[in-house]
Amino acid sequence: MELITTLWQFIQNATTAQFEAFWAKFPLHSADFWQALWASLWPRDGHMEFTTFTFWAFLAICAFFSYLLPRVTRPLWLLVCSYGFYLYSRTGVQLVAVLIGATVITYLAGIAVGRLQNLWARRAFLWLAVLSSVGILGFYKYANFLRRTAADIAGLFGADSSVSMLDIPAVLGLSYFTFQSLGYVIDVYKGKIAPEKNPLYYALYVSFFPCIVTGPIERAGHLLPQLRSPVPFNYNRVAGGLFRMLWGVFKKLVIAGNLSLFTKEIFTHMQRYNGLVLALGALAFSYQLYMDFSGYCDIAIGAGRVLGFELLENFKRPFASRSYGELWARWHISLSSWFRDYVYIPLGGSRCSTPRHMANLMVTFLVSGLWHGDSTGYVVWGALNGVFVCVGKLTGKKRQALAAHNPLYKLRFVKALIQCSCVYLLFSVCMVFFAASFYGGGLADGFYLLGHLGASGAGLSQLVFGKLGLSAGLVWAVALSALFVELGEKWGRPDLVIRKIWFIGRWPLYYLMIAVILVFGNLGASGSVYGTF
Amino acid sequence: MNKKSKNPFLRAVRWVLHRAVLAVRIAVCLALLAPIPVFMVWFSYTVDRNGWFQGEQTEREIAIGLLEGNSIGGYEKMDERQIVKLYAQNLPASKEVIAIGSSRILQMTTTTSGSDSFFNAGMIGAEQTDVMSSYYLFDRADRLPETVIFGVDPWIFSDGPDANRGNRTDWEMYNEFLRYGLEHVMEPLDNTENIAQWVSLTNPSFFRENLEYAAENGYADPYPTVPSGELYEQEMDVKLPDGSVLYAVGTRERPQEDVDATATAAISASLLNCEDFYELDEEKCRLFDEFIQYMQRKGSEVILVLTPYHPIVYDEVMEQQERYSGFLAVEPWLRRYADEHGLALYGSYDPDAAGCTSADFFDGWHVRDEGIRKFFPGVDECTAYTAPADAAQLPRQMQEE
Repeated sequence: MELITTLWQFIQNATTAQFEAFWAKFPLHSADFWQALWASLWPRDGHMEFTTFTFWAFLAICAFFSYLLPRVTRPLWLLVCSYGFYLYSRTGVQLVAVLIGATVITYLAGIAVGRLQNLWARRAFLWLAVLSSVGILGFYKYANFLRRTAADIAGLFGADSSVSMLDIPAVLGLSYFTFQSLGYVIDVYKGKIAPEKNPLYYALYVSFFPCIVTGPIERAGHLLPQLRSPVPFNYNRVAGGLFRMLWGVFKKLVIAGNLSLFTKEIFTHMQRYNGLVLALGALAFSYQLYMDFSGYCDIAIGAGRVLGFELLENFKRPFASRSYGELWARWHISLSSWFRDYVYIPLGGSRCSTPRHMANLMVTFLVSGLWHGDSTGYVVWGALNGVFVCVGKLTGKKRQALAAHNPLYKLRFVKALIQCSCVYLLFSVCMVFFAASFYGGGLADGFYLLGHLGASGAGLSQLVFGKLGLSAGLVWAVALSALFVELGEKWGRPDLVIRKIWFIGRWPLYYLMIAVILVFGNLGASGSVYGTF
Repeated sequence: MNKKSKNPFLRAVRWVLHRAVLAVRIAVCLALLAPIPVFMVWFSYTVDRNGWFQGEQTEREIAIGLLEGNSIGGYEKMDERQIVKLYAQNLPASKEVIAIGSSRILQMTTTTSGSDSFFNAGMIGAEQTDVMSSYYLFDRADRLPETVIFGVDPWIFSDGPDANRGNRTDWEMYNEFLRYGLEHVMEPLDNTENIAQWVSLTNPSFFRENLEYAAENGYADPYPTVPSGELYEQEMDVKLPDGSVLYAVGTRERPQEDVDATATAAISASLLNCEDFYELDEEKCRLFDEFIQYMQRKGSEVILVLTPYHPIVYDEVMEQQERYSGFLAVEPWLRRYADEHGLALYGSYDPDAAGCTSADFFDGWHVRDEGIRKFFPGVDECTAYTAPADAAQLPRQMQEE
């Protein structure tokens, strides 16, 4: 609260003369200032983070010229922008060939699959696209994982288990653009969509910059028609998009950013803390990941709206789910539906025997775990999710029958609360392995946490107020912000809801959110957790 | 049928109106959003935790306190260079007289100077660079004094390794002084850093740092304002509103034998900044000359003041004339210079010539206010230097000549 008090005191004590003196000195007239400001916007240390001014300035330039240029040239301009976004990072320059390669191969495969009549030839091109996409993904993401695993297996048989890691750079958006392009070829093969003839539209579909860092993983049938027919400028859509971006920044910096301080300390120094803190760390990580990832997706979706495109929604309040299956229909929807359509259903889906159905679910979740990274922690996370979903499916009817006798379930609110809490708890158990991997630990760390929930050690207040040095005001701010976000999203899509609020109510909300970001946001927390996948 | 397509004129008007309304809406939005970054930048500029624009927050408060006529405690911890800079920047009107020099001139008070409009801009351990910069601070703030009392220390002419270490010097300010004060032809000053500092104001993280800094330091008071009734009871050094320093009660009331012991210990260790000083540095003499001319060009009358050393110290110097040949050469050179340029010169490094005794000192080289009064008559009484008729008023090394 001292920060707010300080700000308030500053505002109270501020005088016009002070402001005039400041304004007179501010070098707005200096070309050097603008040059330096411009240079500061393009540090090129990593890829362009969505929560930085750099991205917002970049988006503003893209949008301005996008609407200024004739509509026919807009896809070309957006393609230039998308590659500009990609080439912004120095590794992007080195690895742009991967993006181009994936685009060219899947484009040609899509044309071939769409035009050829011979089934075997079509299948051959489909497999070419699948193998090349999986090959790229496998090499850049899993080569070291496979080498390490092979060495470990060899070690079991007494062979030398030491292995040197390959120096393979991380390709920005690899998991997203390969899945997007692969989904396109499969859709063409299945006849769901016609192949895209114009390479410009297709290249833009694969590389569209709002989606490339953390998704959502777009579907060709959804995005390509929009790219072909750009819409004119619409004030409400753009303003709504900007608010959606602000909403995402708020979630990312105020909630996820501050929670990350807490969870990082716990997951990197588990031995220091007691069981309660470890449990809270696991619970907090689930919410942190949700706020982080959904916040980034909000920015992506908002940016898409600013440019005139509707992107797929990726989250629908997953922690309001009453069952574990429902959670997966609300969490990372674009990836879940991708696995459903291209892995789970081709395996046979649910229209088969129960054991086969369960096996299909397990395979799908294991692949999903593997998609997240080359660590056994992610695989265990996927497997556990699969187990929970399977158990949920198998016991669904019996649980419903039992629920009828549960006196607590007579109250709808209590029933909802219990069900949501159970889902959240189970999800957090899985997340322990995810978090352990994300913070550089391994499987053992995940098991350590779950096995030490009764351990003694430093308590919550020692961690929060002692080690981390956080203030009670900040803790309250994060809690209230989370409540605000949950209530806001319950109301509807933020970009649409905000436009229904009258001007007098809307603008104070903008100011309030920006003030909270500036005062309480973890402004150093720029990268997204899912940006690393 | 769509109405728009019927009348091309109406369509054109509609098109223009639509875009005009849109432009107004966007302009209103931008105007409503603009206060946020402007406030953010202004706040960061005002708090200025790095001291890039306002000087350090604490030093700024001290400077403002002095300007408001307060005496501020905790002088020994202060960054005087910053304080003088901020004092000059915020000075509402020029002072008639300022004193520049090292801590050896800091006992010069309003009363001693003989002017009610006086500020002592002396700084501990001032090098030639600091002294010149301190006058320039008043020039760049357009607050030039009518008279400058220049406390000339011998080490500012030293060619020895002890001299001009510049540990505390504000080199950026000195460079600016050379370029714009003395109008030296130099490489253009690289102002990239300064521009980068302005740019940093637009960074939300910097805003946050400033907010946290202001919240943390806003209530602390390491430099308390000392009520005038309690000035002489303080156990810390106090900066008085005229810039002079009132030492802590322990220093002021130190027994004479302790003062003498301090002087003995000091000279047996080394003579402040004057070790291995064998001859005057030509470049520094030239810069000194340029500086004097610069002050005169700016319309300031210059009075040179040579504050004496403790008798024990000076006796030791006279005994080791070879070792301190540079030190001993300064005063004769200055007297000649003052004579040639018609400057007023008062005092002497030799306490005998200045008429001071051991009782006039706090330690080996800091003379009391009362001691200064013995050789300095006040600015109104000052006249151009003429060689004294009485040889006793000359330092011992000149008497031998």
